[in-house]
Amino acid sequence: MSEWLIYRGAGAPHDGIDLLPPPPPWRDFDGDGPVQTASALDSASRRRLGVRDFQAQLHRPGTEERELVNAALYLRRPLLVTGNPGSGKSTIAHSVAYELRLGRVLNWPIVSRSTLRDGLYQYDAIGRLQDLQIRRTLGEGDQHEGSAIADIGRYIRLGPLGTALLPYDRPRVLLVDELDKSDIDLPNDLLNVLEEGEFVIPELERIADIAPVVEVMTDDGVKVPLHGGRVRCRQFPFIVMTSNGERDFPAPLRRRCIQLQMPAPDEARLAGMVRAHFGDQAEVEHADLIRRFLHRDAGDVLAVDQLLNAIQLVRLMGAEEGAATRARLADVLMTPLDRTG
Amino acid sequence: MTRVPGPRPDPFLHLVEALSTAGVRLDSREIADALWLSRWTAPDAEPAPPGAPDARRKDPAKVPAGHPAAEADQAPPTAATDRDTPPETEPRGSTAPVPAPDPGRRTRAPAASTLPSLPPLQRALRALRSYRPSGPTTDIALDVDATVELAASTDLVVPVVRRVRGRTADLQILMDGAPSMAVWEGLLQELRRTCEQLGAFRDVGVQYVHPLREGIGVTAHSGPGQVLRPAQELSDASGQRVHVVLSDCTGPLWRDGTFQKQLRRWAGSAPLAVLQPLPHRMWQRTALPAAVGLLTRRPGPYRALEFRGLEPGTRARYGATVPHPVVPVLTPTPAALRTWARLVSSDAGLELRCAAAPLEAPRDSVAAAPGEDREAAAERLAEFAETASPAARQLAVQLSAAPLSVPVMQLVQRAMLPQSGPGELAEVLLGGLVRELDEPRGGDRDDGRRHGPWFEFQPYVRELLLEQLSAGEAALVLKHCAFYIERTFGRGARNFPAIVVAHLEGTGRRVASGSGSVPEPFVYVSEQVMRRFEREVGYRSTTPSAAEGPVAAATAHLRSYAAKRSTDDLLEALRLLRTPAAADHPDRGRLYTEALLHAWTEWRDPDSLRRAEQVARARTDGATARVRARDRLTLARVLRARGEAVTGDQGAGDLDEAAAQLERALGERGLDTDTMRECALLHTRIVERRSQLSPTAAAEPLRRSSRLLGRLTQTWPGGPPPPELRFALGRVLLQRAALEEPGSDRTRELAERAASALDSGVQDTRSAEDGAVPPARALFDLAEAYALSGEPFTHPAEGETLNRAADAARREGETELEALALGRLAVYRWARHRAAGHAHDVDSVTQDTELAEAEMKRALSLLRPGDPQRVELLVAYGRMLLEILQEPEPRSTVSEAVHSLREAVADTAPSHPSAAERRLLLARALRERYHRESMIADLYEACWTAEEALRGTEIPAPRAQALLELGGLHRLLAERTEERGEWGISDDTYRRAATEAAAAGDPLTAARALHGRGEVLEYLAGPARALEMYRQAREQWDGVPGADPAEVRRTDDRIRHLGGTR
Repeated sequence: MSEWLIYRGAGAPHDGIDLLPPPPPWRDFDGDGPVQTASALDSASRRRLGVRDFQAQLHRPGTEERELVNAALYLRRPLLVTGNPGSGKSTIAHSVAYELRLGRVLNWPIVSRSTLRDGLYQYDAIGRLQDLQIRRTLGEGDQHEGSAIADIGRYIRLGPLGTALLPYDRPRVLLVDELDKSDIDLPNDLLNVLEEGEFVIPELERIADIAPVVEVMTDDGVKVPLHGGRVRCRQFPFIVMTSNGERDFPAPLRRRCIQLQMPAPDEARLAGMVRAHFGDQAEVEHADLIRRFLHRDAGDVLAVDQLLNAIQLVRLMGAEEGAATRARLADVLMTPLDRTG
Repeated sequence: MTRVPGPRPDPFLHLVEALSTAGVRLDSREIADALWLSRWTAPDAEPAPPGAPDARRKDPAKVPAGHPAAEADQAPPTAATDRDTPPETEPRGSTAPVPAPDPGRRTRAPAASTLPSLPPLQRALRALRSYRPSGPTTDIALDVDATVELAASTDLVVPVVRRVRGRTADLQILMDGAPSMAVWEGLLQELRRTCEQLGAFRDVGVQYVHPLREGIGVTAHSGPGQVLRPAQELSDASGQRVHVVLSDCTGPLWRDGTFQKQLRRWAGSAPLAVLQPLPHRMWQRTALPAAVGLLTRRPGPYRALEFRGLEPGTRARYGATVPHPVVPVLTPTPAALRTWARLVSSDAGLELRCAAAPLEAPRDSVAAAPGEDREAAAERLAEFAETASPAARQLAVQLSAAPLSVPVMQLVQRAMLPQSGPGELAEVLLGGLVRELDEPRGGDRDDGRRHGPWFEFQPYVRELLLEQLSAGEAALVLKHCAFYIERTFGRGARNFPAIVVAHLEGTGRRVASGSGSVPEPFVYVSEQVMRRFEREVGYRSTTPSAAEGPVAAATAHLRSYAAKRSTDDLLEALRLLRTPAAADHPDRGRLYTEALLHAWTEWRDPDSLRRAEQVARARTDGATARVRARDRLTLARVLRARGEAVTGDQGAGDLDEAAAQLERALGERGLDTDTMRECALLHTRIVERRSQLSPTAAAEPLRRSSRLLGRLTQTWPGGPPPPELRFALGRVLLQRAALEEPGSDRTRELAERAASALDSGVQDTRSAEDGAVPPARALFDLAEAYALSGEPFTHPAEGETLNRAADAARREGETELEALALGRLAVYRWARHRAAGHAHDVDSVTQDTELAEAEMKRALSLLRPGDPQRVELLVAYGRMLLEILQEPEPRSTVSEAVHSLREAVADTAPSHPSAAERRLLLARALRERYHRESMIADLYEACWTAEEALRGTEIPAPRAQALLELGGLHRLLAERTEERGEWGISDDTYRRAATEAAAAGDPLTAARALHGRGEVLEYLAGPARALEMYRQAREQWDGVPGADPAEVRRTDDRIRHLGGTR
């Protein structure tokens, strides 16, 4: 193989994922069961990147970002991205999914109440109980014992992490957003699952002798069969975990990930984003806004979204409003995030 | 690590040892990952088996940084290959903040624990478990018993839920980030561990507090240089967050009331306490003076505590309630913590005796700062001795022999006074004896921060303290400093404390010391210690001719030092020259300056340089002519040393003065040849350095230097001048040639003169009987002179000279020079081959290309990634490979070209003048690979790279070429993806290329662009339009004198095919 980079950051889809060599022996998983194919790209990814017809994508990763993404792809390890808000951390996942044709990005936003189990699957026990009650009351009983028990599949829904660990033929892309907002236990729990690449649904495992194959709903909205309540991946998913740096992760987690520090976007990157969303000329027309964004104080935190909002508003206002109004609006929109007053 | 006995050591073990010496600590999984990945990142297709030398060589260069297995920061090596410790990782070239010092590394010696043992603390804080914040609870849980009851009674299975109160409060520990708090890091970690294990809090977080604009900012990581968030983010009105502030309340944030203001906001809604680690007697001197009193907790949900202070003079009567918000101030003892825990968690109201302080800005009582002379220092010491504890006083005396960096101080304290703890160290730091120091000079860029925070004694205090220290203790302290240097900077660093210890012990033991730099305080403190104690060391004579007095002995020692490089000799020489008996000797000044210069070179002590200058200047006024010249030479040496160490205008001024001194020295009569030669050579080196510093103003000094050298070589007394002078002359002439317009007559003339000077020097060296070899630098310069003296790559002797230069460089161990020579040789060889036309048979072609490639590869392997010269070589290599590919039977792979050019582009700043050209080369290489391997990703990447090249330049000619390339790429894309839109884009791009090329006066590019456009229009718009375009192209071809006939023929063919006539 002459080129080791699979993900080029060139912004146009291609089948480079087929050239990915087999994983190292200690990251080789052999999930059995029928091999699934991922579904198509969804509108969230398209909107994020501003794709327009066949124009090449203008998300241009830096050299380091590109190399580390590829290292994560090769080594089948998660990528831990740290950076300020709005520096383009989540865009990496969408860009990779788009370029390598890996389907819809599985999004798992973390809050302080998130637990590992929620990410793996959700089991609506109470709903099932109520349905059983209703059916019994209405006299629809005497169903075959097995089907009543296998019915459990309707009440189980795999979460984003659970869906990512299904045995697909191409790795799925999973975005774990804002992991530093989580509880103190979540990173440790996550570590175990990421190392093993599999998990078990006890509710299904319990009935495995009666109902060995149960169909459950995935995060994509399709049904897949599960054998014996075990889910084990075949291709380890490409996982991007983002963090704002508000907490330090435990060392075992950091050691098992590839760490990427996202710098604040520089001029070329900003110009690319502006071009992607507004067209080629926008970069020249709104150069003053871009420069203002770049030359803020070192301690201020500004998100790229603020710049894009400012440009959008200025364009919509057109030439009727005076320059003073435009400047005032731009000021308001580009207030640093950490100033409250 | 034992070596496997056998014919060859195991390369895998070798790799692991090399990594751990470089400070990269990995465990087995990470090494396996790195080796596995390195198989795929190499440009060749064959995967090398892990552990082979190939993998080892590619490993540092190719494994992307940021991966746990990649190169870490300049972390110190560990003596043991401790592979199971968590690694410190840091992405390459990032502005990531310096990681906090690993606590695991520091606590190798048993440390005095700062908190009392764990069980009493946990018992004390256990009361916090029953603290319930006032907000609503949202946890629900299944009530099994109630469900079963309901099912039994009503035959309906319906789950019954109830609200549950779990661990819902958070604990936030706020650690003050002031430098003096660095000693309490251990306390923080223990407190955090205790609270985590307590089970009373859902989450325990630590934030470090620093000043941020007008308020305070927090960050989750310790160490300087972090991005701070405003502290308001931690505010929580619902009472769920408990704040504990760990601070000694002496920092600037406390003194101007900022911290108190922020705490006032938090005091009302949720529990708040300040943990004050300093002993009681120091509390009144801090900015939060706390007094004992009665703290009242009102019943019901938590509100701010009320405080009634003790009435003065009583022990049990309390006065009125203090109106402002107060904060409890606790010592880290179980009793105080238990009191606070009970107060916080009692719902029914409680009154307990506790210390608290009002949260208001302190009334400033800034005492007049004492002066900076010896009396003031004595005063400071007296005041400190009165108020400090005995252990702190002892500690201060011990620390006078150590540089005041917090890790070093802690190490010394643990070793010399193991019973004391951070409290005593805090007393020393806050006792008025030391002041904060900004990062000291010396060491690598981050070393100052990593080993900080730094302090320094007030003036003269260290001297006074040193007098109370005994020699044995001083030696012990220095030994620990040496140990610290070895452990954290590695064996390759200059370990001056170790040298001093060996010297004071007098055993003559050789100390292994390297040349890596360490921060300055290590050096000058050790020097001070040495001078304090060397009086007591007896006058030892190791050389037989010691009878003539100190100066002669010193000369002998210096000679021995020059031969054996033993630091003992140098130190002994310095000591001898400092004795009063040597003061009157006429040679003393010169010898002393020389010795001090050696000391500067060895361990960079700034004091040495200063003293050397003093002595040298004193010598240049007065005495006879002969001595004057040599003294001027010495002074020039000193000035040069300083000029090179200092940056900016001052350094330039020093160098200028040094050059002037040398010129005056050379102008005097009656010099001996040795002096003349040394003066001339030193002058050349100074002028070179000067011209590096400011290239624009270099012409005049260089001209003066060449005139001087020319005169010397012509009028050398007694035979031919020494070869070094000729080499120096040649070098200076070459630099003058480089300043002129490239390719002009003046350049050629200067280069020819340089060549002749260098050549005669080389001949002289060869014909000398002692079989000396010309130095590599001279040979390289000669080759460069040949190159500049005519058309590039035409001089017949250039290749041969380059070869010899490379060999000589390899022998001398000058890797950079060898790399440059090899790189140039490869380019030369290839250029000659190409110029000779295609009249070669296949074999010689292969041989030439293989040789050139091999030389280039070797040159690249010798330079470090990121070196700008390596980038130039990469570009030359890429260009060469692209040309090789056009050969009838190319042997190299196009991927190699892509890799080198990609690396070159990645290491080129966008503002570099050749950035656009390099990008264009990369785009071309990617296109070539696409032709051979049909990976569409290559086309996309080429498109994007060409667009970047276009955006990066305003100059018309490269723009036109970029547009031409882009047009071709879009056309290939159109053919591959069959999108009609792409054809349109290609057409438009070609049109722009033609226009810009015509405007730039580049008919070749215009012709090509028009031809390309014609091909596109054949598909898009039909033969008529295409024919018109081809005709225009044909007209352009007429305007190109050196056009490739094959290309012109192609245009003609298309015209004929489409039915036109020509």
